[in-house]
Amino acid sequence: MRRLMVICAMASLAAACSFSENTSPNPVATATTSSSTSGSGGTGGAAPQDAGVVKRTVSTRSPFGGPAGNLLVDGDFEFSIVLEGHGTQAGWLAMSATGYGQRYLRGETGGLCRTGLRCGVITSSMFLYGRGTSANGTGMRASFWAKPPADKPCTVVQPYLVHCDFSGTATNLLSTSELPAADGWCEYRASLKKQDTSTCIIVENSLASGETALVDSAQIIPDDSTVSQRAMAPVGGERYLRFKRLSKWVRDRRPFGRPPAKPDIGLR
Amino acid sequence: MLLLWSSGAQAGSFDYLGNYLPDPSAAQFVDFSTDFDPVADRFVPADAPEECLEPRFEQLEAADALSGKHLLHIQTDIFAGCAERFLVKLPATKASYRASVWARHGGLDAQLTVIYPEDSGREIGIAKLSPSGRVTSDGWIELVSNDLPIDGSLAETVYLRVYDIDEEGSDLDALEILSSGEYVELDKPCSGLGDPVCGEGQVCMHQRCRLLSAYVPPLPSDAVRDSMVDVMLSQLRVQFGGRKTRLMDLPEALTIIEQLRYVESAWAFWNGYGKAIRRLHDWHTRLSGAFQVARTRRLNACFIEGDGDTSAGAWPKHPKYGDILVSHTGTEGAQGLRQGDRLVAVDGKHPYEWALSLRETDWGWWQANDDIVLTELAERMRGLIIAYATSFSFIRCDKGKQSCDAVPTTVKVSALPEEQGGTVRCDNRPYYHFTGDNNPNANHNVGWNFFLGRVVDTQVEEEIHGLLWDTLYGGGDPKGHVNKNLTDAYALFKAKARGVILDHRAGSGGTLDGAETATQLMMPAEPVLVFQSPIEHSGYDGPADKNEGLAIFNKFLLNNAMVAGSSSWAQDLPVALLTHRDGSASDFFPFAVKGAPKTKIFGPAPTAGAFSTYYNYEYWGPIALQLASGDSISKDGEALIGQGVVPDFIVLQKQSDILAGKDTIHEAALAWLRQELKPL
Repeated sequence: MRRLMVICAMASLAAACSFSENTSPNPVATATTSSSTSGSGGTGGAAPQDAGVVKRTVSTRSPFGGPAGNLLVDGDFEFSIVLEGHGTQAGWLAMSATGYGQRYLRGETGGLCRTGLRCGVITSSMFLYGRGTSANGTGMRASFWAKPPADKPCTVVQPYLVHCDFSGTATNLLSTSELPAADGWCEYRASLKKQDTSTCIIVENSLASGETALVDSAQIIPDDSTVSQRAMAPVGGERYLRFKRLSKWVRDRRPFGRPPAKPDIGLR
Repeated sequence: MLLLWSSGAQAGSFDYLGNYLPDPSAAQFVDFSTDFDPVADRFVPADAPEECLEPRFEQLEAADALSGKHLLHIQTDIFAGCAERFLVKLPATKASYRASVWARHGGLDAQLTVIYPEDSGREIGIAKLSPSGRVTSDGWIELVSNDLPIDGSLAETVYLRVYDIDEEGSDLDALEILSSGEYVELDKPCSGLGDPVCGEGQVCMHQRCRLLSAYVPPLPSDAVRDSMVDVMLSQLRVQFGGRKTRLMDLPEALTIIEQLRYVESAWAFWNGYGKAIRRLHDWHTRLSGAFQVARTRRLNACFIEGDGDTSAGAWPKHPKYGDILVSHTGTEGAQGLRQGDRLVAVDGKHPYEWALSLRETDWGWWQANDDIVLTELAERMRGLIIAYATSFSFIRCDKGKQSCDAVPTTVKVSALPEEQGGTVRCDNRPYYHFTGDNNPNANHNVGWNFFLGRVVDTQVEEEIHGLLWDTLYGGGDPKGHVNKNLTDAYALFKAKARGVILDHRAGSGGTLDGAETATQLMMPAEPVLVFQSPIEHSGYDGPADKNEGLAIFNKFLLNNAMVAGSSSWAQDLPVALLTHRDGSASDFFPFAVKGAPKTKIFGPAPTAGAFSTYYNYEYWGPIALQLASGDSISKDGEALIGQGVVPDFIVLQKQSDILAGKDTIHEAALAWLRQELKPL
């Protein structure tokens, strides 16, 4: 977090400068703003008293995801938004809600995402499988962010911590509020006891057909405090069967070989 | 107070309301509003596929266009070969330029492209665009290129090529072309890797200096660089590798990445990252740069490691490296090389010694995990020579006379004709051995196919049959292409054969079930290894001893074991498995059957020892990381990464055999089988 530097040059931009050391998994979101006209040209000048409507804000973010130490393969979704139709072994897999087939994980970009340059777009009848590992010798803290459709509560998205080879148990990440914050995002958190096998995230949703939600900024990090750490609890019913199918699907298709080549349209 | 944003690596700025302010010094700025004609400003190459002739973009009026009132919505079909191209108008002078454009939603591949007239002798110029890190609250991200020198007085066409990555498409706005410094002559002739005539960011490839710095992303700004380096380090520390690669190879890679905090150019940063990844010494791991450097020549021949017995008098063996022979050639473009010839030197060094030196440079680097295995280099040798060598020397041999020249012939790569015809596939099989038309074609195009047949030069009553294939991608489907072909072939063998040759000499792996199915002929059902993925714990270096390994094996036995064999295996059927350049699931398969009662493995060297899976990290532009993760633990408690499967019979292809029309490895397998035939 040593480079976290939020520069809010104008009070009117404060809402866009809401990152803080406590909440931002992306340590390098630097705000919108500023400098002199020298060398940059343009017609900008001192903000007049009646500044008008701010159309957008600008910031600099790391395109490489993070934060360092995240136990998820791609917690920030920076490397999992790939060419549709070209299968890869990405950090996040989007699956059909039945757990029987893979879906395409579409991406959003820039400041529409909570951190980094990319985030995922989930739809109804889809769930996500996020690959990760467990801390070595300690418990873990996990967080996850989702931006549900307007007027929908945070509970339309539900992330779970599971063993990557589903063991029949899970811990749900609880939303920190019933409704999204002013920026539309919901945070989900959980603390988990030390695990003796790898930990992944499965994200379910109850979106209606045609609705979408953004997902971003997932992290699992080591946590050597044992305060309020939970053990995973048994999962039952349909969810158990879905998670089991999903886990098997991932295992069966785990690549041990050379991947297929990307399509190539040549130099021109 | 002024609220403008700019830096050396970026283009325009924003005013305090967030309106985009293009750099007034830009050589060209297009905001896709009134300054853009969707017909006149679109470029379609003459050879574009017919389905790409209709525009795959819309010019939309949008209140949140980044600049002006319009943006372009791009919706191409890359699988049909379609991209969109928008003309750029530059002064008729020589200058270097960099491009920037803003994109939103999904993902976009963008490149600045310069086409020169065919008779100019100039090659296509390309600069890929990647994120600078600047983003806007309404979803725009800035993509920028590094410098691309353009001779505007000569250029026929300059354009921005874009394609999107999903069915929803992406938005595009505010294209800016900025003059970025002095013109540098490109594509200067050079004589091979390291030729000092090539400048900063250039590599001598295919006999010309190639500006590879134009392909990589920009140098990360100070604001984000430490964070990026931290994440690069973290990805390796948390997820990478197995015991051997973590202990032996990872530390060096981490040291190189750590130094990236201080480099001063985009090329030094990204090429340094590539070097670090290549130090991981892993069959699955690579950093792709997608450098689209067209091959200008071809060497249509395949090389394998063997025993140059016929030419031993003309050229002594290297004390460390094996002999490199021509396994087979294509019908044209072999440049004088013939089957059975021996490649003795590249740029004056043993071919392996020379190829190993390319690890510093070659972004296509591919190496076995097992330190002693170099077969991947032999398979890639022809491409490496054409790309990087100045000359190569070979001993010419004559199949008719069964003899070789007394002195080598040296060929300058620059003297080879410039032509880009096709190439034969290198599958480490100098000859095929099935009767009738059951063999792969003359292009050695095995691909996803299975070839099944009776072995030539055997008696009908011997009933020696074979299967030749390279993929083990079962994909979890017992009735799918791979598993069904294997089970059908094995059913036939069980019913009919007295001996079987399984020819898997270019095994590129697949999935665990494919490897399991492949073992079902040869052994009773038995868990032979476990593989847990993702790795259990962050940064785990693997079991320190066999007891720790056994504990892991037992822990994952139930859900993560490779269960080889079958209760209905062919107990009295001898099977000869041929390996050569095999990795991953094609490591698992021979690992499982080695030691099976009636099975022997024949090959020149161990398999790759790539006992893991991998993750893909798809970055923007051309950069994509594939990172191996995990290790397999044997039933004996051993961590297997880096330990290729050693054949029961180490058999080198003899030059004398190749010249005589024989395949030494096949012959050895056949001879063994004949001693072991299933009783009638």
